[in-house]
Amino acid sequence: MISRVLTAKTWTPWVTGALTGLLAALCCVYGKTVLGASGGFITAASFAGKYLNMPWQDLLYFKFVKPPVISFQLIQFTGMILGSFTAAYLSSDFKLRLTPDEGMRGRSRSDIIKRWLTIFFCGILVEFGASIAGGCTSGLGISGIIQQSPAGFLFFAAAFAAAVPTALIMKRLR
Amino acid sequence: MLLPLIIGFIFGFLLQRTGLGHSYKVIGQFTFRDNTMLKFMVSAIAFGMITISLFADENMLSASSMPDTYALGNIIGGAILGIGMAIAGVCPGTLITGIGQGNIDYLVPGVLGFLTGGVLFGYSFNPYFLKLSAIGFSKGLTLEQLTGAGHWMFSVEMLIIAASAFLITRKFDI
Repeated sequence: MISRVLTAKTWTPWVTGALTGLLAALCCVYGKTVLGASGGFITAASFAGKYLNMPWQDLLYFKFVKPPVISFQLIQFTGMILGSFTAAYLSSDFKLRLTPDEGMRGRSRSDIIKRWLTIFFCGILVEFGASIAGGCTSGLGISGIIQQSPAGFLFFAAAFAAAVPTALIMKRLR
Repeated sequence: MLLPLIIGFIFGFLLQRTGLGHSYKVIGQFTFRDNTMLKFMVSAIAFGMITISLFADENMLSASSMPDTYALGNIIGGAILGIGMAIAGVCPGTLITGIGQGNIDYLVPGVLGFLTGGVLFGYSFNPYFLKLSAIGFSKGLTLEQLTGAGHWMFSVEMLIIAASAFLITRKFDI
């Protein structure tokens, strides 16, 4: 029974969601920060600026607001990668993938280039948008809403309202 | 040091087991082909909100985990993130999850895109973001402060919404 649960490829989202909500609440209270991820990339960009000697290291933002110091979220990233790897390894879902398993026509070189360009440019949008909003799907969407912050609700509604027509248009274009 | 590592491990494990390290699961939500993500979010929000309400009664919430509300920025940022997420199927938390399960497209162009988004935000912080975030700014605002209604009212409402969603999605198998 236990081994079947541990090796199941997916768990019901109702259970994983409930546990994540509980985890986010504990993170707010005992970690004194939101359970998010977008801030970690900003700190990583700050490190990249300093150690690769990039011009953005001199921006006031990367010097004072988000200086290159090991943050809660950067350590959390390490934990997340280990956690995700463990979950995927146990369920045989770990695989080196150049493109997603589903949702793409083929695996030719041009498909790979298309996917890589897509995720690069969308990555810019996602991180830039999350930074403007003050958090991402988990940091503001879950952690903000559970603390009953209006920012969380506004963010969630706006993200969904923009994402649904975008996805429908993309589906039509494919 | 240990707390963010443990929190991250559980978070990454849960996101991976929900299937959200796969971009087609995220994109599928916005065309309503696959409602995993919404079920996960609704469950997380309901259980997290109840837990936070319990902590709030004991005065254990800290101001540092409370997001700030600045309506225009929360909405614009959310919409930009929503567009990127609907096209590429990633958000900051699921990008890290995908890296843990072996997605090379997440690890290389994905991370580069997120870092670029972070750098762009750094450049726009002083000239644009400070002005945008000043519009309708309210530090650590909560629904309770905004409406005067007690926080339990919203938590119980959210639990009822989640329970209804659970029953409806099961009954109609959606």
